[in-house]
Amino acid sequence: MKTRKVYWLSFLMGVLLLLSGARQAAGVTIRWWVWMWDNPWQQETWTASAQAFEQRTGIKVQIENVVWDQISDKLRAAVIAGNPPDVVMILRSDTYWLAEAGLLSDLTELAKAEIDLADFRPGTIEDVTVNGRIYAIPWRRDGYALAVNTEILQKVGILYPPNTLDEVKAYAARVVEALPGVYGWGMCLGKKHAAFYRWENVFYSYGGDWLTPDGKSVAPNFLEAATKAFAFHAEMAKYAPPSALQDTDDDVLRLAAAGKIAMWQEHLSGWRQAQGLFTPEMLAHVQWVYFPEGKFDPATRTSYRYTGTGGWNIAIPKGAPNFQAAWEFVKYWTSPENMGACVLTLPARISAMEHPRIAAIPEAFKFGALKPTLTGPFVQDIRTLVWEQLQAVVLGTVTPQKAAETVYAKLNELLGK
Amino acid sequence: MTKRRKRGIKNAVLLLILATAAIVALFPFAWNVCASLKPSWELATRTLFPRQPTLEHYRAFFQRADVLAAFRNSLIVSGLTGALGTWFAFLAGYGLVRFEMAGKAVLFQSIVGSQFIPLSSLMLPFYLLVYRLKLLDTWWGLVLVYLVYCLPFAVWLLMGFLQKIPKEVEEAACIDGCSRFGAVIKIVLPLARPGLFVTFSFVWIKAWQEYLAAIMLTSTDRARTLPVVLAGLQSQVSFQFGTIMAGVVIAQLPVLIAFVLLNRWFLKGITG
Amino acid sequence: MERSVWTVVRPLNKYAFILPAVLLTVGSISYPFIYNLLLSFYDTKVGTLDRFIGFSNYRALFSSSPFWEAVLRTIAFSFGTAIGAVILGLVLALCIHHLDLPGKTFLLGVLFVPWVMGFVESGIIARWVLHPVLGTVGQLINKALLSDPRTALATVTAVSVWKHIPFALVTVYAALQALRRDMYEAAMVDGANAWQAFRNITIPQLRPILFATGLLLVIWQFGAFTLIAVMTEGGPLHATEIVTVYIYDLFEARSFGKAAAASVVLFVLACILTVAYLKLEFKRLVEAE
Repeated sequence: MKTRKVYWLSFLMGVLLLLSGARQAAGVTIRWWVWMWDNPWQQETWTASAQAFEQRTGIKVQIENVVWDQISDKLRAAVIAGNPPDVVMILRSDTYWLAEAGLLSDLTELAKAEIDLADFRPGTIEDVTVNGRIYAIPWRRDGYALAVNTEILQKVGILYPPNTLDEVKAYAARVVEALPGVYGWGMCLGKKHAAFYRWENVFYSYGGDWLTPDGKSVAPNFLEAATKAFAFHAEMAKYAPPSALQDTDDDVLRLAAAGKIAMWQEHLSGWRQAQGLFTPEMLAHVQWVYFPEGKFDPATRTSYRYTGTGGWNIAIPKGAPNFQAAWEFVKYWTSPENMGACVLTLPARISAMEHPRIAAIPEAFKFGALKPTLTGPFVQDIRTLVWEQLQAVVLGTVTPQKAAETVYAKLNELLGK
Repeated sequence: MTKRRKRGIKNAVLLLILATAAIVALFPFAWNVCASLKPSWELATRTLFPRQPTLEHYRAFFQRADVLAAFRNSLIVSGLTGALGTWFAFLAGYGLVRFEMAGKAVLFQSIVGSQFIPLSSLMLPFYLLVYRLKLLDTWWGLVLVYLVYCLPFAVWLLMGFLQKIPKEVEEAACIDGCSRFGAVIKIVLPLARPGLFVTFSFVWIKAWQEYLAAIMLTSTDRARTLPVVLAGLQSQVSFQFGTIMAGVVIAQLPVLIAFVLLNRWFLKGITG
Repeated sequence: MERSVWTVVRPLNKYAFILPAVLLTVGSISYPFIYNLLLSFYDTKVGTLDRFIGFSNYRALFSSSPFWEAVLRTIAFSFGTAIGAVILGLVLALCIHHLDLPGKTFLLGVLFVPWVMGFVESGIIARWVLHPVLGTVGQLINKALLSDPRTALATVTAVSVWKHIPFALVTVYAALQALRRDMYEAAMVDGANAWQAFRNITIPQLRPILFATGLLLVIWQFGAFTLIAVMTEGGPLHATEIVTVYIYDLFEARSFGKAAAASVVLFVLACILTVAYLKLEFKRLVEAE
C-alpha cells in the first residue's frame, strides 16, 4: 500500500517537473552580461528597457552583472568552456584582443545591412573593426576635460581658466607659491589606468601620435611629444600634493572636494560623481573647460587639445547559444532613442547626442576634441611601461627624454622592428 | 611595596599596552563606521566623527536589489563551507591522529599542503572544473572551491585539538564494545566541541570574505555573495564612497555579532 | 581473551575517515594544478593549450630581473608579516594571560577584529587613513608613506601584520593555557624570577607553536595578492610588486603561459618552506604523543 503511494507521488512530481520545464522552454531567453550597476538609476532604466524589448519581441533578457574589470576574463573562460552569454558589454580597449583571440562573433554583414553605421561618431566603427571585420557595435564614448577651481585661482589673482598647457604650469606654480596647504595640480599616479590615460591626453595635446596611419611603425612626432608629456608631468609633480604617487582618481576627486587642488584632469564619469561628492558651494566654484592646448601649428592653424577617448561596446561572443535573438537585442540596444535614454556618459551615435539627458553635460566633455586611445595587441604592455616611466620621471630617477626613448624602443620592439 | 600595589602596577602597565593595541585594532573599523555615517560631501574631510550623521548610505546600500540576495548567499555558502569543512576535517584529523595507516605522512602533507597553491593562478582551470561539474553560479560550486582552501587549515587546527584528548577516554567509555565510529561520535565529538567551534569560526570567516573565486564563479543573484556586491560598488564610473563604507559595515556585522554572541564558546575552545 | 575493539579497525573504515578530506583537497586541486603546469609550457593569448614552446617561458622569467626582484620582495613581505605578527601576537597574548582582571574574553574579542575585516576593505580603509592630506593618521605623521618607494613595502607589510596579529594571538594564547603549571611552581621554589621563568620555561615550550604559526603565515603570504593590489597596485615604481602582482600584470598582458610559469616557480619556492613546515608539523601533531 505504501509503495503504491510512493509511486503515485513520484509520477505526479515527474509530471509537474516536465510541465515546468516545458514552460521554460517555450520563449527564448538571452543572457546579457553588463557591469555591476553604477547607481540605482542605471539599474532601473536598463532593466525597464530590457523589459520593453521583451514585450516588443517576446525574447526575454536575463541580465547578469559582472564586476567591470573582470568581464573580459570571465568571457574568455566562458567561451573556452563553451558556456558564453548571448550578449556582452566589453571595454573599448578589450575589443581588439578579444576579437583577435577569436572570442567574438563576426558581425560585419549584419551590421552593414541593418545598422546605419554613418550615424556613429568618427573613429568608433574603426575601433571595432579588426582586420576589416566588425566584431562589436560601439555603445558609449568618454572623454576628459580640465576641471578648474576658480575660487582658488581668483585668490592668486587669476581670473580665467588656463588655455594652454604652459598656462597650466604657470598657474599651478603661482598657487603653490602663494597659498600654503593648497596645491596647484591633481595627479593620480597610484592607479595605472588613470595615470596612463591622463598622460595620453597631454601627449596628444602636444601633437603626438602613436603609430603611422598604416599601423606598422611608430609615428614620427612620437618622441618629441612624448618627451614633452613626460617633462610636463615631472614639472607638475612639484605643484601636486605629496601623495601624487599613491593617489587614485578617486583620491584626486576627494582632494578637490576638500578644496585642496586648483586644477586637475577629470573624466566624464568623475564629473557625474562630483555632483554627489561636492558641496553645492564647491560645485559653483568648479568650471569644466576644454583641455588646454599643448601645440599650435600656425601652418594648418590647428590647435592641438585632444583627450583620448575610451568607452564600451556591445558584442556577441563566439558560440552564443541564441545568435539571432542576440542580434535583435543588439540592434535594439544601439538604436538612437535607447542609446540616448540609457547611456551614462556620451553616446557613440551622433543623433543620440540630441537627447535631453545629454544636455546637462558640460560642453567641454561633449564637444572637446577626441582622439582614440591606443588600441591594439600591445596596449597593456605600453600602458604598464608608460606608468612605470611616469613614476620614474616624477621620482627623478629618469629624464623625460630617456623615458620617451624607452617607450619608443618598446613600441618598435612590439611592432617587430 | 605591597603585593597588592605590585599587582596594581602590573595590571596598569598591561592594560596600557592592551588598550593601545585595542585602539590600533579597532581604529580602522571605527573609521569605517564613521565614514559610513558622513554625508557625501563630508567624506572628503579628515575629521573622524561626522558632524551631520546621516543614514543615506545605508539606505542606498539596501536599495540595491541584490543586497538581500547576496546576504542570503553569503550566509549559505559560508555556513555550508564551515559545517562541511569542520565535519570532514574532524574525520580526517581524527583518522590522522589515531589510526595507523600506510602513507600517513604523504596523506597529511598532501591534504595540508594543497592550500598553498595560490588561487589566483588557478582561476581559469577552476572555472573549467566547476563548469564541467555544472556547478557554475550555484552555492555548491563555491563551496567546492572554498573547501579546497579551508579544509587543509581546518584539518591542521583540529589535529591540534584532537591530539590533546587522551586515548584512554575513548577506550574506557566504551567497554562493552561499541563500534569505533560510534565511540567517535558519542565521546570524542562532544569533547572536541570547543575545537570544532574554533575551526568552524575560522573557516566561516575565511569563506565569508573570499572574493576572487566568488567573482569568477557566480553571475547572478542566485549565488553572488557579498564581497562581489561590494566590489561592484567600485565600478568604473563611480566609486560610491559612502555606499561602500556602509556596505562594508553591514558585511562585517554578522561576523561580529556572531562573534560577540559566541565569544564564550570560542574562548573556551582556545583556553581549553 | 577479549580482543580490544581498538586493535581491529577494518582498513576500509580507516581510510573512509580521511577520504572526504583527501577528495576535496587533493582531488579537487589536481586538475587545476596540472592544467596550470601544462599551460606553463605553452604560448597562448587566450589560456588554452595553443602552441608548445617547452621551457621558453621559464627561460624568459629567469633572465628577467624584475621577476627576481619581485621574488625578493615576496620573501621580505612574507617573512616581515610573519615575524611581526608572531612577535606582537606573543606580546599581546602574554599581556592578556598575565592580566589580573576580569574581561579577558572581551579583550580577546576586541583584538580579533582585524582578522574579521576582509582584505579589500582593509586595504581601502588603510589607504585612506594613511593619506597624508586627507587621512586622520596620515596627516598626523605628515609623510606620504605609500608614495615613497623606500617606505611603501614596509607600510604594506605593517598593514598585513595588523591583519594577521589576531591569528597569532589566538594561537599563542591557546598554547599559553596549555602550559604545565608544575614547572613554574618548581622554578618558584628554586627562587627564579619572572624573566628567568619566561626565558627558560615558557619560551622552550612555546617554540614549536611559534615556529609553526610563523611558518604557516609565511607560506600564506607567498600567495597574498588582494591587499597589495588594492593599496598600491604594485607601485610606486615596483616598490610593492610582489610575485603575485607580477603574475597579475602578465595576466593583463594576456601572457597566460608566462603567468602560469611564474606561478609554478612561486609554488616551487613555497614548496621548500612547505615541505619543511609539513615535516615539522607532522612530527608535532601525529608522531609526538
